[in-house]
Amino acid sequence: MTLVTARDLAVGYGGRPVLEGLTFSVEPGERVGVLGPNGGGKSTLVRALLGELTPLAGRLEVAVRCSVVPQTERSRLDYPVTALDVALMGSLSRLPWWRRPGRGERRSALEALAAVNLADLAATPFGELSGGQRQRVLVARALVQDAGLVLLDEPFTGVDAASAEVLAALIDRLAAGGRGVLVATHDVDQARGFDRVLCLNGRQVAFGGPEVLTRSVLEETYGGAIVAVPEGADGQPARGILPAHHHEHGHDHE
Amino acid sequence: MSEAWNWLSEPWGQAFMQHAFTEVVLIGVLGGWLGCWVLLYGVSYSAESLSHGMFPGLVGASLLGLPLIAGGAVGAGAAAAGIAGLGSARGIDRDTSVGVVVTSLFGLGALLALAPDSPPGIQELLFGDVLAVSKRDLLVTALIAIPLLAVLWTLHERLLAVGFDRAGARAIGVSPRPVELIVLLLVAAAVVVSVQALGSLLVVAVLVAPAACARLLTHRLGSMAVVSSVFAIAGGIGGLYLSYYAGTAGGASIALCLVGAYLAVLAADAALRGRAIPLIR
Repeated sequence: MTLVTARDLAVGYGGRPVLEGLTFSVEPGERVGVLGPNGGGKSTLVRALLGELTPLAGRLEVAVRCSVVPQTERSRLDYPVTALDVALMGSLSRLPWWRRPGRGERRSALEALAAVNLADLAATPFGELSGGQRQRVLVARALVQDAGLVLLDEPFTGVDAASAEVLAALIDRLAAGGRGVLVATHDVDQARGFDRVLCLNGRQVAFGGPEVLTRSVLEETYGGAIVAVPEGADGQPARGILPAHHHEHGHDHE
Repeated sequence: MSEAWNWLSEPWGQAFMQHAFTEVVLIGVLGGWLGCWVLLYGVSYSAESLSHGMFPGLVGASLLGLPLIAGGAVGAGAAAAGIAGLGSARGIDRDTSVGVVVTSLFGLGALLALAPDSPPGIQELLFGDVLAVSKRDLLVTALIAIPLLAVLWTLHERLLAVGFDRAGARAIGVSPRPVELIVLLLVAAAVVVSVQALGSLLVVAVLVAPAACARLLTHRLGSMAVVSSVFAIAGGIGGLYLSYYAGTAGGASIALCLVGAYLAVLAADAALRGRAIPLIR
């Protein structure tokens, strides 16, 4: 069963497309790296997959429930919740509004925290965790949601090397369990390690296996503003460097 | 020892003090718990605006001899409608519309209350009269407070999820708008129910001060709500003692105790952490 099918999809806000010409699919067990500059449409794609935006043109079919692992900078660090409270939020989508999470939900939240190696920090306030640990708590929340498609929004931003390794292993495990995993990232090297890559810059620049990440595709993706692309050992460009003056546009979040 | 005991127990021998005690416990549990969400959702200004904006409703009820709660409810509804109506006009932002509507309504209330043929008792509307709470008032308070507490209990995790990450709430199956609307409706109802005891000017104290105290002392919402309610009840009882022995106004004494407790906790927190400027966790 194909998890996501997009055909000539255009999505945007107020009738104005932010992202056009999307034709891609996600199969179970696939890890898809989503590359693009800030404001290039990554967050818009996430909102479209969640069903928050209706297509302006084309077709989008999402066959499974989606869960999102947002950037942790967006959540409030002074908020009075523990890691367990956050993981438990993943159970809300399966409960009617008058039902509170009960013992069964607590158990699955604790199991999810154990799966991201944070069982011993379940009672720790979310804001006191490191950036990488917070990211893992949010992955645990996605596990509790038990979604067929997991969307991670730049999970490696501001995360130390050790946590990044744990996160990368988690992404592999999510996919190995038959889920589709979409990872928005700035790290071209990392995207090369995924099964598929989707390059966005207001439109779909490329979609396919990692071999589509040629220098010209990367330049088109990042607006031709890559000033320094060190050559990798295989002669391929090793890293995309973002122009510093690109800003996130205000419409990415509500 | 027995002298201290007498001092402590003496006020509660009288029926009006027993009623006042029950009223501050009910309002304390509701205000303390709901206050946590007032703080976390950043709606303190809305709470204060509602309580001031309902003033003409209170005056009207008092002139017509209707229950204060009915006047308060009508007044709060009119204030909310006015704010929403003016806020949707072009070129007027939300803060401005709240400011305009609330000061107009409060002025209107004062005009009515200070008219020569108005009955005396305006202080009661501004500052409440917890010592005049009757058995029937208590019943009304309980009948309103208990369903509100049930809503808070039932929606706990959803309130938590929306406050934690509003933009991401929909992705975990919680719509933020209805949840935020419910918080405002709960605040309006709590203000209406507390106005008899604390009056239009002081009611916001029970919604903000205990929760602010609890925020300094806890880092989980469950414990924050418990600590906040305990503070609110303790402040209420402390205020009743103050009022009884110093002969001060009940509502004002309670507000003073609540804010005093907050300042004491703030200072203790700052001293314990060795900081000059306390940071709110």
